[in-house]
Amino acid sequence: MPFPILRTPLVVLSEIISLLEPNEIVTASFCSNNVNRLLKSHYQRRKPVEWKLFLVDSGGYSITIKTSKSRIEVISAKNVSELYTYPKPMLLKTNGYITKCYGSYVYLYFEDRVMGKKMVVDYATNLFNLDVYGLKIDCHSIWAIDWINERQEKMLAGVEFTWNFGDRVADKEFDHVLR
Amino acid sequence: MSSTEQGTSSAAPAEPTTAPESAAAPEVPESFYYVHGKDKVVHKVSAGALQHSALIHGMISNLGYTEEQAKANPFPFENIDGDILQMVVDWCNQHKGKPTPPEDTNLPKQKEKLFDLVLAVNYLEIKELLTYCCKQVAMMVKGKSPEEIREIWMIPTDAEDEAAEKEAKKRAGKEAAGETAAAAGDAK
Repeated sequence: MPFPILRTPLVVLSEIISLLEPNEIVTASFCSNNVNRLLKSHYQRRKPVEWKLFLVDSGGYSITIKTSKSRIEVISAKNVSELYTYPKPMLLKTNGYITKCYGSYVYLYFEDRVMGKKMVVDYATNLFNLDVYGLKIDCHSIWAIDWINERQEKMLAGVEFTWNFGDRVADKEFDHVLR
Repeated sequence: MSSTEQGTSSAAPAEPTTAPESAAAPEVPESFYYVHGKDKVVHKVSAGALQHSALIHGMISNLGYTEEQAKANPFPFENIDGDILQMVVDWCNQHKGKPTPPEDTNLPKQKEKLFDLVLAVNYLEIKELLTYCCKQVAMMVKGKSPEEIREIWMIPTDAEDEAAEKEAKKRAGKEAAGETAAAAGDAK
């Protein structure tokens, strides 16, 4: 049975939003521009200060949010080549990316991998009115440290570096990470 | 007003002498108040059960009714359907004088009534019941895709929103033009 959520009073709407998990918030934000604006304004008024936003790049690239209860993956960026066409997905073509929801969170498929990574960071930080708290990256995403430190006032609280077998990271790059 | 008077729910008899909390204070007889919804059916509810509603509790504190006065002047809630008010009264009776558990299994099961129930509970300012109802609404979209959420929560698409906005603008324009014409007519 449908529930006309947008016809509920603002106080009820805020209560419902506060009961949703971060991944459900992100998924709901893709329903319409109106809902996206509504969620953003909710978090402008009530910043979820107890949530910590992490950017994780190990194999896949995703944004996770650590709440008081758990750590939840909320959105992921992937290359369009990784998009399986069978079974036929319900696609929503938007500007430069394709949205698909598998299981409990949304995947965005991009032609340009770096643009995709930047876009999901922008999307999640704008939606939740949060800065990136920490990074978990491999040698291919060292650029993200400077990029994130430039786009937010707060410094990153931590960077976890994952070493993949076969990676040959120059000393210079390691120095950069350690600095 | 209908003279039909409904007692409190069978799950929690309203007799003050049998209520467990009255055992703690047997000297004080429990007072009862009366409410009715759109259908004018009067529900008799104990003051203890009505404590859940901040709105009604405030009204009771301000009015200082005697039992006779309360019976003669039921609180009217014309904006609440009778069956919805009955659900709310039942819930208040079931949770009378008890700490509300974090999960409530006594919530009304009729999903189609949930929207009206949420509005009524919000109006009556019953915080715990509102939280339970909101939890049910939040649970509806667990594991759902944006398309499914749009359907469950009746969210219009961007195209539908744009069309509605255009329509509203058009209507506002027409109304403004009508008012201008009427004002010009009056001036003549």
